[in-house]
Amino acid sequence: MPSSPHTQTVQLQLEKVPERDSHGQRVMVKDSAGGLAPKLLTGFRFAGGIDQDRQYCPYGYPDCGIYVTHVYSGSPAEKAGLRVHDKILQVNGNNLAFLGHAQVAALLNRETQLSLLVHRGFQRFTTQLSDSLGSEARVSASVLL
Amino acid sequence: TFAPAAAARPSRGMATDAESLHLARSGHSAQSRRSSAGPQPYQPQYFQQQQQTPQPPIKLMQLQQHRQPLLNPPAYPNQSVLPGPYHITISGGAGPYQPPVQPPEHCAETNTVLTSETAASASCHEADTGVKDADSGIGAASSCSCARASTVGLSAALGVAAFASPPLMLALPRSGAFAAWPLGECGVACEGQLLGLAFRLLALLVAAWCLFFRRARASLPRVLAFRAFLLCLLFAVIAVFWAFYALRIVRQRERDYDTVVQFAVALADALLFLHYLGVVLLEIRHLQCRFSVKVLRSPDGEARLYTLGETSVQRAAVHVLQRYCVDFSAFNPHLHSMLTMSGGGGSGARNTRRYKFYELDRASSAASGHSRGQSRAEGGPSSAAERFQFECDFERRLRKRRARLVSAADEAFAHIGRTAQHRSDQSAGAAISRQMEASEAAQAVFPTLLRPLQRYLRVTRQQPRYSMDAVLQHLAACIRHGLGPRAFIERYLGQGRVVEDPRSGTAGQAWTLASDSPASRSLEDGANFCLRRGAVSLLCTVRRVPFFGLGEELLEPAAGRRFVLDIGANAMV
Repeated sequence: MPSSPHTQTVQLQLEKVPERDSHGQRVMVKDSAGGLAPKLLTGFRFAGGIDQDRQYCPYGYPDCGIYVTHVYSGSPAEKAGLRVHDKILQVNGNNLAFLGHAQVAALLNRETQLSLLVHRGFQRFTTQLSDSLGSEARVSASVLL
Repeated sequence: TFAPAAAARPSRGMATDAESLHLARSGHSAQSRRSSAGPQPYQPQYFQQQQQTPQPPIKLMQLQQHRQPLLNPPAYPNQSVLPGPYHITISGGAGPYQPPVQPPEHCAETNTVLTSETAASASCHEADTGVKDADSGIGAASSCSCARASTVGLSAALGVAAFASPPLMLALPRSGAFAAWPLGECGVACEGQLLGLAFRLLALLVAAWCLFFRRARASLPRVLAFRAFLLCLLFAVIAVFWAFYALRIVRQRERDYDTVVQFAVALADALLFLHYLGVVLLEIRHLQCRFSVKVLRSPDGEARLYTLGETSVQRAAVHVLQRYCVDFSAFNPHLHSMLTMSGGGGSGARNTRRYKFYELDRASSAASGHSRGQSRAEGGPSSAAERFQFECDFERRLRKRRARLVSAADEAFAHIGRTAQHRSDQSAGAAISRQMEASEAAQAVFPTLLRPLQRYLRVTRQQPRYSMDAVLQHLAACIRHGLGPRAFIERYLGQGRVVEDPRSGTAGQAWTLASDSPASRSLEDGANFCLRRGAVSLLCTVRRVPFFGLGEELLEPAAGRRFVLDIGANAMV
């Protein structure tokens, strides 16, 4: 992908962290072997997938790729440098191009260590309009460079 | 020369709209064409009007010569001959507007005649307006009826008796009419009671004057249930109190005057409470919003929706009529019949065009007439296309004439403005302009307004409504109050409201009420009643306003409201 001053493609390394509940205990889930294993968290939310309808996402992503919509603070994702509106191209060498949303989620949950190839170039321009009544409206446009 | 034609008119039956309009302008093209022996040379109407000598137009129903010369005819350098006496109207009920005669066997069993009048004398002298023959007859007859007079007399007698009872009860012991009645003196408490009684009577007088001494809006066919109930109750109260007074006080020669005073005060209290009951029953009950009544006017389909309270059908009818007068646009039968006749090939439409043309096809009558009739009957599309075409033409013509009228009015009022300004510039030695009164100024600028106004009124079929006098007066009033040209012509641009129509009977109108249920029954959901007067029918459909069950939903304070974006599938990893 062409890289301009506004776009870049980066490789990020993530170490997952076990999830802790409100009491500080590790959250255990059943794993494939039948026993309990600690649930590991990466700490971001993503949207997209080949089976998703793009129009339902208000951010206006230009395609059905996997985009990060939220990064929790203090999470491994944040520490690794993952940002909102990053497009994840590959996970551990696996191409995410033709995977549905659930499949991507399963893939990301399965791996313990993640090496993400991420394209960062999505920009949202927001302006604020206020009318005479003082109420504000946000008008936003989305551009992918 | 026109007398024989005028005599022949009624025998020919009702003239069509087009011919009545002809009479408005010059009145002669149709007449002369018909009455003259030889064929008339082809002349477009536009030129016809200017060339003919001014003559009074012929009225169809009532001959009313309407000729008024100008008081101070201004000297126009360009016009040597003013177009004669100014006629804008045929006044009176000219035209095919005729109240349909309803044979009595058509009346349903609940048909009642609803007459409304306010001043008996006014409605009795209403025979001038031709259309209102039905009104004057009916209104005069029953306005002076003894039913109404007896009701009024009875209520008045009862009211006077009620009001005079407490003082009479107080005065009787003291008057000495009864022998051997030793009466005590009036102490302090007794005097206080007397003051209270005086105030109660004053309140009763003022309240009765407010509530009952009013000009009746309408006379209704059936007995008003609540009013009759109140009268009976009043009579009962007075009778009972007097009976007790006679038995207990007079017969036993009550010594204590305080007791008598208290008795009179009790009577006054009872009367006040009765008045309160009257207020609630007669006034407040019908102010609530319980029913919605949709009023649909028959010939042209205009409809409105009003709210009513709990009333009887006849009172609801009166309420509807009052709102109808104010809200609905005035019904112009000429305009309506012209617009509805447009679909069928419209002889009315063709005749009002500027240039006449003759269709050879029409001369070969019978076959083509049949075929035309057939095509009109079959042709949804053909008549609809004609109607659409006609409406487009009509709209265009209307807008053109309206534009000319507006610009003429602007010019006229600008002229007046300049005149006023010249008045202030007299010191500068400008041309001397006479200082004119408003009526003189009106007559001065009227000729420039006359032609466009006449044309516009003709297009909207309003010329029977306004006489030259009325227009001049209106113009003078506008000038006097310093109004603008748009304000002046506003009256003529639209059809106006029903109550504004100068030919509608503001003194009294006779309407006929026909309803499913008896007229004194209370309104119900789904009731229908119909009000008729002449060509206008109002169908009123009553629906009950539903009962609203209101629940409450608590909202968080504005700062605490949070919203979540719906992003679709948004898995957390």
